[in-house]
Amino acid sequence: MNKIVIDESNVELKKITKKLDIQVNKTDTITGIINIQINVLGSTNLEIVYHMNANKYLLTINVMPGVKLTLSTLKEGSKGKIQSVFNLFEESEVTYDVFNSIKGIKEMLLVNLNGPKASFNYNFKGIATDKETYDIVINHNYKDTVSNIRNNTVNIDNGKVTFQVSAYVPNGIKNCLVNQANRIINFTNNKCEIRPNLYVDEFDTTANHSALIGGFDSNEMFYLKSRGITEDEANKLLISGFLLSDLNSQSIIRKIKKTIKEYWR
Amino acid sequence: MHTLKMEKLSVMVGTKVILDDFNLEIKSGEVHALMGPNGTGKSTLSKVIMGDETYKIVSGDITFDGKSILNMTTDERSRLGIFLAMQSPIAIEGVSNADFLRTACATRDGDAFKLFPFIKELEANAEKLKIDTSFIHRGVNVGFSGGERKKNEVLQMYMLKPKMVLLDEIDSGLDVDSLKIVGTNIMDYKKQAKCGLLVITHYERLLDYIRPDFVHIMVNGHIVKSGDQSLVKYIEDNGYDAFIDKKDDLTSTCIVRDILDNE
Repeated sequence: MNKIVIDESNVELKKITKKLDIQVNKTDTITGIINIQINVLGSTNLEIVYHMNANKYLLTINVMPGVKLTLSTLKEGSKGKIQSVFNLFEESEVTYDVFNSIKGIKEMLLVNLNGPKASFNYNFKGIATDKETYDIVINHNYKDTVSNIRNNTVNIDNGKVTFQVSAYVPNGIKNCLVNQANRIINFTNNKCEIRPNLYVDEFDTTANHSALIGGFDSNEMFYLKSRGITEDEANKLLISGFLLSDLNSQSIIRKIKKTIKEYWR
Repeated sequence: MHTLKMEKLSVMVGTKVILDDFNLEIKSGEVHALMGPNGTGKSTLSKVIMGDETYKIVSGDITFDGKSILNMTTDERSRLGIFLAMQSPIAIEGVSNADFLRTACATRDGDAFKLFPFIKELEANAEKLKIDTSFIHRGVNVGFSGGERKKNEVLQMYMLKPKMVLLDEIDSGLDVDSLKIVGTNIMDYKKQAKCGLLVITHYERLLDYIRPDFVHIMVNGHIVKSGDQSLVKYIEDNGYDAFIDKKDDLTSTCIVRDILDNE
């Protein structure tokens, strides 16, 4: 497994295949940004682990035509800003699992679907304990492109999460599939926000969105409790289901299970 | 011997009375069938027994072995030995059947819970119900057909070993083969556990497998007629019209036309 470990300002590349061309620019003295550019030349997988301490990162990933990238990202630590830019070319595909267990983050994800049949599948999981802001922009620049954005976060302690997810389909860009599903399970009285935007200027588009902030469905709780499961255990089961569903990355699954045990003993 | 008793039970949702002065006693080994037109409060009764907080108990009591369970939570009632097989079991995405049942059994058994015997028992019971064991790792009821969901309810019953079983329209959505499997397995469990059964149904066909000792007709939130299985045949042939007093509402007493006695 190709792996990049980013420990504050140190970037360590581990077992990197020739299918990945990686360039790391040291911290910019003016902006303080660590710049990482990855060209994905052949189908492969990649794991990126961030240990942050108020750092700023700019990650650019270019996925070449016909290439499939299975990416997973784990972010830990406290405070940080990340801007990730994905450029996908013709018939390229990215499957991206993310788990954020970080105390406060501001993140921007920009996805440019720059070739026909490019496909971006994003599966975000998070446990928020501080202010977190996510701004996601998907540009469907070519016909037949697909974006599936799924954000699942459990908000606890001082957590305050905002998701702004905007997808753009200009006029003339036909047969695009644009999906976004955002859900925040809020165990606090803190204000959380979801701003789902679908800027679709083309009739020949399939677009779906869902947004939900709140607790778990009372019917689900009743069903579990009717089998003798206590409220605490029922919550733990539902949180596990919520955070572990649809993931591909085994390392992220293991990390989420461990984190759930830490928070919900 | 265990007894579940509803005594002068009245229940509301919002401003609407759903159960009105409802009385019923179920003892271990007894099978009670509860029938009645749609919207008469049968499913509500089962949920109220299970402690669904949607419903407000206005008066009366529910006791299990002589002790009121009204102040108990839903999970406490379940661990007491009351089991509700639901009319429309919901799907819970991301929670596997195995995790769900393991958590339920581990909560019930505490330190006595052993994983290996649990797995063996789960597989054996799945086989009895002709359920593909691959379902164990699927999400709870996710992608299950109506019949599979009902079989899953019976599987949960087997695993949790309740003393009192409430079956809310367990026959709905079942084809004839599945109905036979579900019906015979419920009776097998009854023989094995000597539990009491409350069977809520609209159809005679389920009662071919689960033979009731008592049949009750429920209209407008209370029982208007009790009898034996001949009452089921009467309902099949004539419907509920004879038991519905058009003037009856939930604040007045229902007048039962005792047609059966006159026949």
